Amino acid sequence: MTNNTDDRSSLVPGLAAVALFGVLAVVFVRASFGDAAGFTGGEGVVASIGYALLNIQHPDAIPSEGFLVALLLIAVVLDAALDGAVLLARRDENGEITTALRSNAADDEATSEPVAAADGGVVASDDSEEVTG
Amino acid sequence: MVPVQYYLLVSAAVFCIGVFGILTRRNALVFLMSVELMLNAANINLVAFSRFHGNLTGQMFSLFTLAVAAAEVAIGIGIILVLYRNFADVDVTNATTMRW
Repeated sequence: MTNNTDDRSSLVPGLAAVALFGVLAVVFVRASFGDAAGFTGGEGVVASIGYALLNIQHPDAIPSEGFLVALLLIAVVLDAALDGAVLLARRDENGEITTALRSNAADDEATSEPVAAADGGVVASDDSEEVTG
Repeated sequence: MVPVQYYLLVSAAVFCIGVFGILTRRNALVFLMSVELMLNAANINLVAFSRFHGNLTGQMFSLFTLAVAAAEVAIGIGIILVLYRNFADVDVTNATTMRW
Protein backbone atom coordinates (compact mmCIF):
# COMPACT_ATOMS: atom_id res chain seq x y z
CA MET A 1 0.00 0.00 0.00
CA THR A 2 0.96 3.59 -0.05
CA ASN A 3 3.81 4.57 2.18
CA ASN A 4 3.33 7.61 4.27
CA THR A 5 5.89 10.30 4.07
CA ASP A 6 8.61 10.48 6.66
CA ASP A 7 8.84 13.14 9.32
CA ARG A 8 11.36 15.32 7.54
CA SER A 9 9.36 15.67 4.37
CA SER A 10 6.24 16.62 6.32
CA LEU A 11 8.02 19.18 8.47
CA VAL A 12 7.97 22.01 5.95
CA PRO A 13 4.32 21.51 4.93
CA GLY A 14 3.41 21.28 8.60
CA LEU A 15 5.15 24.53 9.36
CA ALA A 16 3.48 26.13 6.35
CA ALA A 17 0.07 25.01 7.52
CA VAL A 18 0.72 26.27 11.05
CA ALA A 19 2.00 29.59 9.69
CA LEU A 20 -1.08 29.93 7.52
CA PHE A 21 -3.29 29.29 10.54
CA GLY A 22 -1.31 31.85 12.54
CA VAL A 23 -1.76 34.53 9.90
CA LEU A 24 -5.47 33.78 9.58
CA ALA A 25 -5.94 33.74 13.36
CA VAL A 26 -4.24 37.10 13.78
CA VAL A 27 -6.39 38.63 11.07
CA PHE A 28 -9.61 37.17 12.48
CA VAL A 29 -8.92 38.13 16.08
CA ARG A 30 -7.94 41.66 15.22
CA ALA A 31 -10.95 42.23 12.97
CA SER A 32 -14.06 43.81 14.42
CA PHE A 33 -17.31 42.37 13.22
CA GLY A 34 -19.81 43.76 15.68
CA ASP A 35 -22.77 41.90 17.06
CA ALA A 36 -24.41 39.12 15.11
CA ALA A 37 -27.90 39.83 13.86
CA GLY A 38 -29.15 36.29 14.42
CA PHE A 39 -32.20 34.76 12.82
CA THR A 40 -35.47 36.58 13.25
CA GLY A 41 -38.78 35.28 12.05
CA GLY A 42 -41.60 33.12 13.24
CA GLU A 43 -40.63 30.09 11.23
CA GLY A 44 -37.63 27.96 12.11
CA VAL A 45 -34.43 27.68 10.15
CA VAL A 46 -35.28 24.33 8.59
CA ALA A 47 -38.72 25.45 7.47
CA SER A 48 -37.27 28.63 6.04
CA ILE A 49 -34.68 26.62 4.12
CA GLY A 50 -37.50 24.59 2.62
CA TYR A 51 -39.33 27.74 1.60
CA ALA A 52 -36.15 29.17 0.06
CA LEU A 53 -35.40 25.95 -1.84
CA LEU A 54 -38.81 25.97 -3.49
CA ASN A 55 -39.14 29.75 -3.98
CA ILE A 56 -42.13 29.92 -1.66
CA GLN A 57 -42.88 33.34 -0.24
CA HIS A 58 -43.87 33.02 3.38
CA PRO A 59 -44.42 36.03 5.64
CA ASP A 60 -42.81 34.47 8.72
CA ALA A 61 -39.85 32.88 6.98
CA ILE A 62 -36.28 34.01 7.58
CA PRO A 63 -35.26 36.26 4.69
CA SER A 64 -33.44 34.58 1.86
CA GLU A 65 -33.31 34.41 -1.88
CA GLY A 66 -34.97 31.81 -4.07
CA PHE A 67 -32.99 28.72 -5.03
CA LEU A 68 -35.39 26.66 -7.10
CA VAL A 69 -33.27 26.85 -10.26
CA ALA A 70 -30.14 26.01 -8.29
CA LEU A 71 -31.93 23.04 -6.75
CA LEU A 72 -32.83 21.68 -10.18
CA LEU A 73 -29.33 22.29 -11.52
CA ILE A 74 -27.70 20.53 -8.60
CA ALA A 75 -30.04 17.60 -9.08
CA VAL A 76 -28.82 17.28 -12.66
CA VAL A 77 -25.20 17.59 -11.53
CA LEU A 78 -25.62 14.87 -8.92
CA ASP A 79 -27.27 12.61 -11.48
CA ALA A 80 -24.38 13.17 -13.89
CA ALA A 81 -21.90 12.46 -11.09
CA LEU A 82 -23.67 9.23 -10.27
CA ASP A 83 -23.53 8.16 -13.89
CA GLY A 84 -19.87 9.10 -14.08
CA ALA A 85 -19.02 7.15 -10.95
CA VAL A 86 -20.81 4.06 -12.27
CA LEU A 87 -19.03 4.43 -15.60
CA LEU A 88 -15.65 4.62 -13.89
CA ALA A 89 -16.26 1.79 -11.45
CA ARG A 90 -17.90 -0.60 -13.88
CA ARG A 91 -16.06 -3.73 -14.96
CA ASP A 92 -16.45 -5.26 -18.34
CA GLU A 93 -18.16 -8.59 -18.59
CA ASN A 94 -14.99 -10.59 -19.27
CA GLY A 95 -13.22 -9.21 -16.26
CA GLU A 96 -11.14 -6.62 -18.05
CA ILE A 97 -10.45 -3.33 -16.44
CA THR A 98 -12.58 -0.44 -17.40
CA THR A 99 -11.37 1.54 -20.35
CA ALA A 100 -12.47 4.86 -19.00
CA LEU A 101 -9.73 7.46 -18.71
CA ARG A 102 -7.57 5.50 -21.11
CA SER A 103 -6.68 6.88 -24.48
CA ASN A 104 -5.16 3.65 -25.77
CA ALA A 105 -8.19 1.47 -25.27
CA ALA A 106 -8.47 0.84 -29.01
CA ASP A 107 -4.91 -0.51 -29.04
CA ASP A 108 -5.72 -2.96 -26.29
CA GLU A 109 -8.75 -4.20 -28.13
CA ALA A 110 -6.68 -4.76 -31.26
CA THR A 111 -4.05 -6.84 -29.49
CA SER A 112 -4.66 -10.30 -28.23
CA GLU A 113 -2.49 -9.88 -25.13
CA PRO A 114 -4.36 -10.07 -21.88
CA VAL A 115 -4.82 -6.70 -20.32
CA ALA A 116 -7.04 -7.73 -17.49
CA ALA A 117 -5.99 -6.82 -14.02
CA ALA A 118 -7.97 -7.94 -11.07
CA ASP A 119 -7.72 -6.02 -7.86
CA GLY A 120 -4.29 -6.65 -6.50
CA GLY A 121 -3.36 -8.77 -9.51
CA VAL A 122 -1.21 -8.21 -12.51
CA VAL A 123 -1.26 -4.67 -13.72
CA ALA A 124 -2.18 -3.95 -17.28
CA SER A 125 0.55 -2.81 -19.60
CA ASP A 126 0.50 -1.26 -23.02
CA ASP A 127 2.96 -1.15 -25.88
CA SER A 128 5.05 1.76 -24.71
CA GLU A 129 5.50 1.36 -21.03
CA GLU A 130 5.27 -1.26 -18.35
CA VAL A 131 3.47 -0.32 -15.21
CA THR A 132 4.23 -2.11 -12.04
CA GLY A 133 2.31 -2.05 -8.83
CA MET B 1 -24.19 34.56 21.40
CA VAL B 2 -20.86 33.18 20.22
CA PRO B 3 -18.78 35.80 18.37
CA VAL B 4 -18.17 35.13 14.72
CA GLN B 5 -14.41 35.15 15.24
CA TYR B 6 -14.61 31.81 17.00
CA TYR B 7 -16.28 30.22 14.02
CA LEU B 8 -13.64 31.72 11.76
CA LEU B 9 -10.86 30.32 13.94
CA VAL B 10 -12.36 26.83 13.83
CA SER B 11 -12.79 27.16 10.10
CA ALA B 12 -9.19 28.28 9.64
CA ALA B 13 -7.96 25.36 11.74
CA VAL B 14 -9.97 22.84 9.72
CA PHE B 15 -8.79 24.41 6.48
CA CYS B 16 -5.14 24.27 7.56
CA ILE B 17 -5.51 20.61 8.55
CA GLY B 18 -6.82 19.96 5.04
CA VAL B 19 -3.89 21.86 3.52
CA PHE B 20 -1.46 19.86 5.63
CA GLY B 21 -3.06 16.61 4.52
CA ILE B 22 -2.85 17.55 0.86
CA LEU B 23 0.77 18.65 1.14
CA THR B 24 2.03 15.60 3.00
CA ARG B 25 -0.07 12.57 2.12
CA ARG B 26 0.16 10.53 -1.04
CA ASN B 27 -2.80 8.23 -0.47
CA ALA B 28 -5.58 9.25 -2.81
CA LEU B 29 -8.28 8.53 -0.25
CA VAL B 30 -6.61 10.73 2.35
CA PHE B 31 -6.21 13.30 -0.38
CA LEU B 32 -9.93 13.23 -0.98
CA MET B 33 -10.65 13.54 2.73
CA SER B 34 -8.34 16.52 2.97
CA VAL B 35 -10.18 18.24 0.15
CA GLU B 36 -13.41 17.58 2.01
CA LEU B 37 -11.96 19.19 5.11
CA MET B 38 -11.14 22.33 3.14
CA LEU B 39 -14.61 22.42 1.60
CA ASN B 40 -16.25 22.04 4.99
CA ALA B 41 -14.10 24.82 6.39
CA ALA B 42 -15.68 27.06 3.77
CA ASN B 43 -19.09 25.75 4.82
CA ILE B 44 -18.44 26.77 8.43
CA ASN B 45 -17.70 30.29 7.24
CA LEU B 46 -20.86 30.39 5.15
CA VAL B 47 -23.06 29.26 8.03
CA ALA B 48 -21.37 31.58 10.50
CA PHE B 49 -21.84 34.63 8.32
CA SER B 50 -25.37 33.53 7.50
CA ARG B 51 -26.23 33.82 11.16
CA PHE B 52 -24.17 36.97 11.49
CA HIS B 53 -26.21 38.73 8.84
CA GLY B 54 -29.52 37.15 9.78
CA ASN B 55 -30.01 35.82 6.26
CA LEU B 56 -30.39 32.22 5.16
CA THR B 57 -28.56 32.60 1.86
CA GLY B 58 -25.27 31.45 3.34
CA GLN B 59 -26.82 28.28 4.66
CA MET B 60 -28.35 27.62 1.28
CA PHE B 61 -24.95 28.06 -0.32
CA SER B 62 -23.45 25.61 2.14
CA LEU B 63 -26.13 23.06 1.26
CA PHE B 64 -25.28 23.35 -2.41
CA THR B 65 -21.59 23.15 -1.60
CA LEU B 66 -22.29 19.88 0.19
CA ALA B 67 -24.10 18.59 -2.89
CA VAL B 68 -21.20 19.54 -5.14
CA ALA B 69 -18.82 17.88 -2.67
CA ALA B 70 -20.89 14.71 -2.85
CA ALA B 71 -20.65 14.75 -6.64
CA GLU B 72 -16.93 15.33 -6.38
CA VAL B 73 -16.50 12.40 -4.03
CA ALA B 74 -18.50 10.13 -6.32
CA ILE B 75 -16.27 10.95 -9.26
CA GLY B 76 -13.16 10.92 -7.08
CA ILE B 77 -13.80 7.45 -5.74
CA GLY B 78 -14.46 6.23 -9.27
CA ILE B 79 -11.11 7.64 -10.36
CA ILE B 80 -9.43 6.04 -7.35
CA LEU B 81 -10.93 2.69 -8.33
CA VAL B 82 -9.49 3.01 -11.83
CA LEU B 83 -6.18 4.10 -10.34
CA TYR B 84 -6.07 1.03 -8.13
CA ARG B 85 -6.96 -1.31 -10.96
CA ASN B 86 -4.20 0.06 -13.14
CA PHE B 87 -1.43 0.56 -10.58
CA ALA B 88 -2.48 -1.78 -7.76
CA ASP B 89 -1.98 1.17 -5.45
CA VAL B 90 -3.67 4.44 -4.59
CA ASP B 91 -0.51 6.51 -4.47
CA VAL B 92 -1.23 9.74 -6.31
CA THR B 93 2.41 10.08 -7.36
CA ASN B 94 2.20 6.95 -9.52
CA ALA B 95 -0.12 8.51 -12.04
CA THR B 96 1.98 11.28 -13.50
CA THR B 97 0.15 11.61 -16.77
CA MET B 98 -3.46 11.73 -17.86
CA ARG B 99 -2.81 8.69 -20.05
CA TRP B 100 -1.73 5.24 -19.00
